[in-house]
Amino acid sequence: MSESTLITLNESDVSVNPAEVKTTCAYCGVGCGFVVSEGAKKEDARELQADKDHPANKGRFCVKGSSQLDTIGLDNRLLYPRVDGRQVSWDEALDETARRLRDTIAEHGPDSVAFYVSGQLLTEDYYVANKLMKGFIGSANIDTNSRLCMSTAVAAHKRVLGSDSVPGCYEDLESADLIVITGSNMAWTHPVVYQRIMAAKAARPHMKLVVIDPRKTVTAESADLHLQLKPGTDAFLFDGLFAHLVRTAALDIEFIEQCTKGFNDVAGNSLKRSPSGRVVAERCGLPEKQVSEFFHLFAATEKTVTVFSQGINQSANGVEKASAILHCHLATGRIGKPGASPFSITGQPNAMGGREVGGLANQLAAHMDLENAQHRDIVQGFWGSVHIAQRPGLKAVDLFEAIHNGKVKFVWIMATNPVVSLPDAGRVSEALKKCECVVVSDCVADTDTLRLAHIKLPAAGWGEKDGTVTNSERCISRQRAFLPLPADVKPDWWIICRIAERLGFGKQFAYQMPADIFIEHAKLSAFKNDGSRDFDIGGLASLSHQDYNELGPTYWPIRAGQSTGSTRLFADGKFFTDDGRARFVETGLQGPVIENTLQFPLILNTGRIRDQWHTMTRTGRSAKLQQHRTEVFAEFHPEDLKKYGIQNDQLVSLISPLGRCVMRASVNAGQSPGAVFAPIHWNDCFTSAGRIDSLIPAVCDPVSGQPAFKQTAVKAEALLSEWQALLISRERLSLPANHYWNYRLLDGLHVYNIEGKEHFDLAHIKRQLTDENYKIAELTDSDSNSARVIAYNKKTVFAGLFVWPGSESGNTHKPDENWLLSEFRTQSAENKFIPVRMLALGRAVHGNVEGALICTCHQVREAAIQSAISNGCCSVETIGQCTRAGTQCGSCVPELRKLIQTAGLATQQLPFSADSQVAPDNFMQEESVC
Amino acid sequence: MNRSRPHLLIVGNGMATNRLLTQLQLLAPDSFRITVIGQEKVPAYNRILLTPWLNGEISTEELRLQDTEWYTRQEINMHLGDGAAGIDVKEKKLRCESGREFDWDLLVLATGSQALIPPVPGHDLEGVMCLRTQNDAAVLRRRCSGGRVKSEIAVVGGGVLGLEAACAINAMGLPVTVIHRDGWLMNRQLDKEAGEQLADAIRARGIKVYTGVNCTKFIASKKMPSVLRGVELLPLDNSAPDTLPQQLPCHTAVLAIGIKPEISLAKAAGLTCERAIVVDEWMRTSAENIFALGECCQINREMFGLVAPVYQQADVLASLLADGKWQRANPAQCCYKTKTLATRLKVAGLDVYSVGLIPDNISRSLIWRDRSQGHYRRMWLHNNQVVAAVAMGDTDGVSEYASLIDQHTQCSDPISLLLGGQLPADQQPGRKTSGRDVAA
Repeated sequence: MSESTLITLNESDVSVNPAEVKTTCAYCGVGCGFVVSEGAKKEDARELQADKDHPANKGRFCVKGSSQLDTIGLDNRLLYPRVDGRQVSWDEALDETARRLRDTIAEHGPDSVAFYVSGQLLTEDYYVANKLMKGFIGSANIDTNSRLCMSTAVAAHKRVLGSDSVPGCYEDLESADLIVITGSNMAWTHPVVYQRIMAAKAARPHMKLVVIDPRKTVTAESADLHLQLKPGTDAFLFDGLFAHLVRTAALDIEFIEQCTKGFNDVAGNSLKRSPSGRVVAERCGLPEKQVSEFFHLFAATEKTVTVFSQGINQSANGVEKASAILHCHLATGRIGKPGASPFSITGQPNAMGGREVGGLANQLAAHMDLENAQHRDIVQGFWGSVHIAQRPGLKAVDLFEAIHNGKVKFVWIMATNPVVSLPDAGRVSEALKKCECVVVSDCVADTDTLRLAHIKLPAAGWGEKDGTVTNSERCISRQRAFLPLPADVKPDWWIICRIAERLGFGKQFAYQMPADIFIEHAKLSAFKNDGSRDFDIGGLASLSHQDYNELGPTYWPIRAGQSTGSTRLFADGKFFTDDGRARFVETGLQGPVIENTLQFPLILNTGRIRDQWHTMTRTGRSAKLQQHRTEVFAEFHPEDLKKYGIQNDQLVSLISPLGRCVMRASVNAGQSPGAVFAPIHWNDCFTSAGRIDSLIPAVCDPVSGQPAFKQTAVKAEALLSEWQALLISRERLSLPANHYWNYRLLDGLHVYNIEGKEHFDLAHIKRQLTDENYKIAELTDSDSNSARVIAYNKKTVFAGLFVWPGSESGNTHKPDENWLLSEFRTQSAENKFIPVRMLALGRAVHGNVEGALICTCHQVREAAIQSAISNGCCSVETIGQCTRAGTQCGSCVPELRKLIQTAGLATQQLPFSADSQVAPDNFMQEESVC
Repeated sequence: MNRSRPHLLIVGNGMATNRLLTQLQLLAPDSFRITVIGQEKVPAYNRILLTPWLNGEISTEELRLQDTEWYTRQEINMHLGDGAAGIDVKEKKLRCESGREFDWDLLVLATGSQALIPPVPGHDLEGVMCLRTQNDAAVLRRRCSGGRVKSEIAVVGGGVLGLEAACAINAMGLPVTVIHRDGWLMNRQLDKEAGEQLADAIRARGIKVYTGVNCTKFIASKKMPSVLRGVELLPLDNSAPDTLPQQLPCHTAVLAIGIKPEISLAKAAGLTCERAIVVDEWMRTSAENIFALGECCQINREMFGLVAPVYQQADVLASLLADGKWQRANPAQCCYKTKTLATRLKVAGLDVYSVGLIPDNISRSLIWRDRSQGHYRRMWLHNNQVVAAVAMGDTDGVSEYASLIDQHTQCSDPISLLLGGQLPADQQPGRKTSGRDVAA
């Protein structure tokens, strides 16, 4: 069986690698379409272009997506199965995994095992994982990292709309007259959607943009109105808005009467709760004027879209916040209409696909509910399963808690890194250390989670896997393979089905290709549906393998007989509740659940940065993407830096009752005083103590079980260091303990920035270099905080270590990192090298430090832009003309604007006039670059 | 010949004198009647080039400082091969060994120095010699050629001169051993590590090097009691090799343990002398109209062994004489100023550089070691000012250091100074000195 499947796999491999492959991005939920083309000649590099025909991006690109080919190399890939540290054959690995799974179930029952899966999986992988656990192992202990980003939106959708359906689509963002963005730094996290909004705004300048965020993010900077509210007070604001709509009768009475239920109670309570704009303003810490401006704008603008994301979802009362948003749209009848909808945008490429197959522990399949006996019968009948799960399983946080207390003894983690991404991450790694059997399937060789795995299964990565994903606007796209499977690597669906076989379910998992799975998924969605359920892709149930291979972007629902899906839902006012009416759900009113204390006076907010994705396992491999923010950091308001005696660029400890992180303090006047921001990406593979989630308590929304990543009480302490060091090596080296370090992989160069107080143990590094039989040249200084070590041989300079005293950033002893890197690169490229002595010097003898990299696409640094500005470039597009900065992906346009404004040259109307030129033409030229 | 011109009598025909003559010819042609008295028969030569001349690296012509016609053109009366025996300050008369007498209006003593001879039994044997004059070099050359090739030559003294000599002899394919009293070679210019690395580099050429070893006796041949047969060795400290033989058989021993100023003439004449003839910053001795310069003089206790300060002295004296105001208490024009000078070992393929005085207790020192290439660099600083530096194997850019020491330049980034040979742009000192400073 596995033999035959292998063969079909190889055949399908042969069928891939045509000259041009249409696929989708592996990163955020925007779900952009890409075209990957072979170079003209075989030796030419592949080219990645944005797909002009894909409805999500229409030829647009962001920097993460456009750098994706940098991440497909085979270094740091998991290429062979390993059991208890031994490399083994697939048969052995599968037998062993199945045995341990079977034995655990036999001894402790189905609920003693669990899968923890991921929005990175393709729908087909997701479908079989869910089917195996819920339909055949008979437990619902399968949850997904979508729990961390989308489960709140899911819960709110189901409570208010009756089904987990996103009513609108991206086009609504272009046709709206008012866009409210709350809890999203879209310019960095969903850059292409942001570009579409900016382009539309430039084309229709009367379009208004309101951004609600406790930080002045780059997104907020392009808003007409930025409500910089107190962290966690969004619910106050939207309940206040709802009350305002009621008070001013800015309502769609007809819609409310015919299509909804429960309005009067909620309206009454809301009026009592939020008697006036002034009260709301006080609660949110906002000027009353701003609040009423927002309320009037919303009330007066028919075509309004409210975009919400993690800032809403990742909080202890997220469902309430999301519900409040939905209420405002129900009350005004602005749902599922062109340019008028609430819009939850998802974090991951296939969070939606996961929701569709029922990948969450409290879902069943095809948007059917576990608690619903009728649904269980439908699914069980369809699957022909013996015992189907009867009750919801453990949600992510509870799941790992159950592993910690020994209730769950076997866990299979697929394509995700919970030791980094879950709250109280320290406890998560404890739990996995205690767990009897941890199986991890992943495409990379080293993650904080893999380090704790007993069984490692090499899974296919982006470019190798083949299947479908669904993006934030319910658009199903094919993600296609353009690379052969390397070594022993297999797709996740194949691995799962082989295990199912070994558990005795071969018949029900006898798929030959992803297409077989998708078609079954489509059939199930239509099975006994008849319009009773939102998720119905019956229209795709009869695809042939070829149709599937050629399937273009398709919106759901697409019911049997329909040739195209619907881009919008609920325009007809029919909802998927028993009575077809949407619900106003009384929620009570909670403010922020986490409050700061005397001991932990700061509120920690976490989020993404522009050029990194999740835990950096892939973006960490692209040199280009390491340059926007080179080091793990925490952003403070200037007042807080003063208050806690921290210098900008100094190392700080962020401390919560759960743990401690060490990061580079960075001043940002856009922070609210009392609030500190830290990125979610860095982890033990990249820095000494940067796993921010190890500070965050496992406080979850009571309904959705989604953790509150956005608010944690912490304190900050400055760290005094005596010295700093830079280590550049052609191989990864081990570092002496007890120092801060930050790691980057830049074109095969391993770069470490190290800093500390206690004496730096040079011998620890030199030992490794001499082991490699390199010659050592070194500078020793009677000042023990100053040293140079260069390891080289006839052919190459292998490594350079630079230690200098002091910790301030503008230190005169500091070597010029950019210069050093280019010297190392030149050497490997042209085998040319300056004398070892000059290299040890660490900078060109008349040094040149070009400053921070602003435009990653065209590698334009701040110095170049500054000089352009001082040469009279006073707008984003003129800078683009003379430096090319900002003319490709546009991600850095907000930073460019900031540079102009700080240079004091910005004109009043610049923020939008700039985009009006930049947006359209630079998107046009995109296929010509990258 | 116009007799009214003052008669300038110069004793000694070395490099100092030559520089003085050329300068005078530039500044005050025809204003003096000039006579030069030289002990050696040969015309003036460049002493620094004696070792390369020894092993034939350069020709005799290249060794000359001037061709003979030049002296005739300048109407300079050269009295060579007849050293000065005595001077009468009152009578302004000088007597040569031949008895020949000269009078003067102005007398310049440029008598240079002699090699130190250790007070060791047998130092007068045939085969024990120094390497000071062209004649010495010629003699050594003769002893190195002919039949004796097999047997050993000893060089006593591991300073610059000794090492240059040893390398020259080695280059002629002869077995040579360097015997050095102190713990490491060039101990006055180098730190221990550099000195030892230098010894390794020299041994690598096939030269034996004994450090921490004293030469206690020159042993006479049994058959020919006036002829050298070997030297007796005595270990002084633990830097001496355990396998040190008691005797080193050799037919020639070259003494290079140092120099002493030649001041007998001045002393006899009653001029104020200490270790050398005392002169002021204008090269004036205690006696009116008598001047001294070069290795035979001292200024504020400073003595001279390198050519650069000697040339400066010649320039100072030349302009003093040209101005004719040498009798004033404080002549207006430039006077001698002491400068930090670097020492370089002039041996092909053996780059050694040293500048400044290596302090005993320093606030900071940095070392660059690139052993596989035989590179070594060290710098000593005090209060962020460079006080000394040495470099071996690779001396790129080190010529900057001397001026930094002179100017007490504040150096906040000694690493770029040590490795790059220069300060970062923002710390560049205004003036730079360059040109090679060489041992004379």
